[in-house]
Amino acid sequence: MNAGRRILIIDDDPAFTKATRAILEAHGYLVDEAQNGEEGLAKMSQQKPDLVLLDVMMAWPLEGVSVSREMMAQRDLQHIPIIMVTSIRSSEHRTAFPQDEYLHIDSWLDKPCSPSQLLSEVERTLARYERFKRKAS
Amino acid sequence: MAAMTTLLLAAVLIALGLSSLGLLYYIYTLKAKLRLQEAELVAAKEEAQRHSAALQELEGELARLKSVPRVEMMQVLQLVHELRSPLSSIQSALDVLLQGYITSGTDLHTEMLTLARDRAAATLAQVNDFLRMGSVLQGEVRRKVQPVQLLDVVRRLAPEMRVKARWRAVNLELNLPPSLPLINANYADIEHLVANLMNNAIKYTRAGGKVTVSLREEGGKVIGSVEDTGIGIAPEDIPKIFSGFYRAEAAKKIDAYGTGLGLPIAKRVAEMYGGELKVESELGKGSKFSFIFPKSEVQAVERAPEAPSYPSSEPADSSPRLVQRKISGRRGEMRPRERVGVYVCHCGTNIAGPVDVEEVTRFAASLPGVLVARHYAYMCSDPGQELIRKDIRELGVGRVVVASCSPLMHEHTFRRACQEAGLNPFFVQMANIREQCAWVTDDVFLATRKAKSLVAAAVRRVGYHEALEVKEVPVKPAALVVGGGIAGIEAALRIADSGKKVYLVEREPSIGGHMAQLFKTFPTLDCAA
Repeated sequence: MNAGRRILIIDDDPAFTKATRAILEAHGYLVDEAQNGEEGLAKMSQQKPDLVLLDVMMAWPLEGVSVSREMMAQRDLQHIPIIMVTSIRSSEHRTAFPQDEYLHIDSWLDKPCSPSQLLSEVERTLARYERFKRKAS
Repeated sequence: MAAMTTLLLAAVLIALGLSSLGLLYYIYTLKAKLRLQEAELVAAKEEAQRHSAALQELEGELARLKSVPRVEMMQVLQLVHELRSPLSSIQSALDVLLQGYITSGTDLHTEMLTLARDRAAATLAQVNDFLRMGSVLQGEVRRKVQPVQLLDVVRRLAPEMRVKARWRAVNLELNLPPSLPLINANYADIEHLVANLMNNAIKYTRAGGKVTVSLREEGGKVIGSVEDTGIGIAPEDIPKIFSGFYRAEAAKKIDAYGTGLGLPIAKRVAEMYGGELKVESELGKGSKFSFIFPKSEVQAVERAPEAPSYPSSEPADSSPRLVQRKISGRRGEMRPRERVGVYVCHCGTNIAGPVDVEEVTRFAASLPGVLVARHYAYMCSDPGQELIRKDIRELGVGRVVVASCSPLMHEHTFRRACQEAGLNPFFVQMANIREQCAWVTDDVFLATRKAKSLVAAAVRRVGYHEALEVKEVPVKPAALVVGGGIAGIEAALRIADSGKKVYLVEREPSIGGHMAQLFKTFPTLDCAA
């Protein structure tokens, strides 16, 4: 049932991207990746993923938050579910997330998280989005 | 010869006499010595008796010490045993369902699920009882003791109990005086005691019966009673009901899964605060449980009928007005360990229609600093407010975020609810997810996302809140306006129009300021502002 669902990972940590990709692909998702916010936004516009896994801290501490705000501002991107996967909470910026700015996300996960946590969050968020799409149509 | 004999005789007699004297003396001394020894023996015997009494006492103590843990151990084993059977029936019910033996949607399917759910609920209640017993047994010193108003306790329990009574078609009557002295106790303990007695009374009374709760003051004591017309208790069972784990046969027929710990806990609680719990009962006629507490030396000033009175629109002369004064807290510092409680309101379908409230609640619970998040059909209703009050009292929620309608609507309601539970009323933050999310879009996805973001912001903000105190100060409703120019005149007139006295001060001999230099203004040609 996951076949054909597209997930875009936006993260500057190749180790995390690689591992996450392996887990998601093993469960039948189509995975794409971007290493920064700009690249991520560009790929989103082309591919229209079903879900975005977004890192908070990339080139600057709240880059991910800016990406989510940018997605919110674009009509064709604002309905893409976002899960923030972040290690910011074990860094010196821990108090900055998740409350400092208005968040436009659907869920968030602390890194490191277990594969089962990641998968269940992805499945749950997608299922909820499906429900919404059914309701809207 | 005769003389010799006499002499000899005399000598013998003398000797005899002497020796008998000696003998007498010897006997006498022996007797004294024996008497001395006898006294010693008596003393020794007394001492031995004393020791033996002490020994017996020690033995008794030892036996008691030995038997207490054994009794408790037996009780623990008994409880564990009692937990095993519901758990195994839950397991088998779930197994049957999981393995697909019963078609989903059928009555049997529902029945099995209901069975599992009910047994789980009963097990949870048992575990809670047991934990409570543990905390009552060991927590006697650590509990916060404060003046408690029994009237409040009963009034707060009343709505919940009325629902239960209505279910069982039992008539619940409250017989409460207008005021009552406070008692010294822990609020949660007392609430548990009263709730336990009321629950029992309702549970063990047949349909059409009556439960009466009364409170009164008598001779420096506060006396409460819960009387029912229920099944009653047999005289031989009365001493047993307070001893723990005992359940009368008639009670088992009504509720098969009770632990029999409720009354022992209640008795223990009563004794912990210098009170007592008594019962009078007649089998088949009913029972009356009474709790008696000494009244506290602290007797509160009666609270004003409306707890925090907000400024009214028409202040009388020198009427008390309100200012808010900071009493604690450091500015600009987020303290993440504030133990925030988040309460998401459905507002019927007003919010729950366009906003996925369950999802918002789940998200709120994942935020740092959040201790508990709940959602409910109408948070502003009595049971909704009670959720908040209960969490403050039982979980120690220290900050409250209510995600519901506009603060103009219900901020006051929730502040009061917090105050009733002992939390500073200004530790409340509202997130308006009705007017700002639900009512402005049909887009479930974005409405839910925005609700989450408002809730996250409110959780963040409430961490900055400082405890404020409402203080009443006299205010004289008169104004001093400095400067009689056009702005001053306008201000003075407006204040005067609203019925207040105004003092207008101007250093020049006439008022009007720059306006006085103008001849005409366009377009009205007069000089009004």
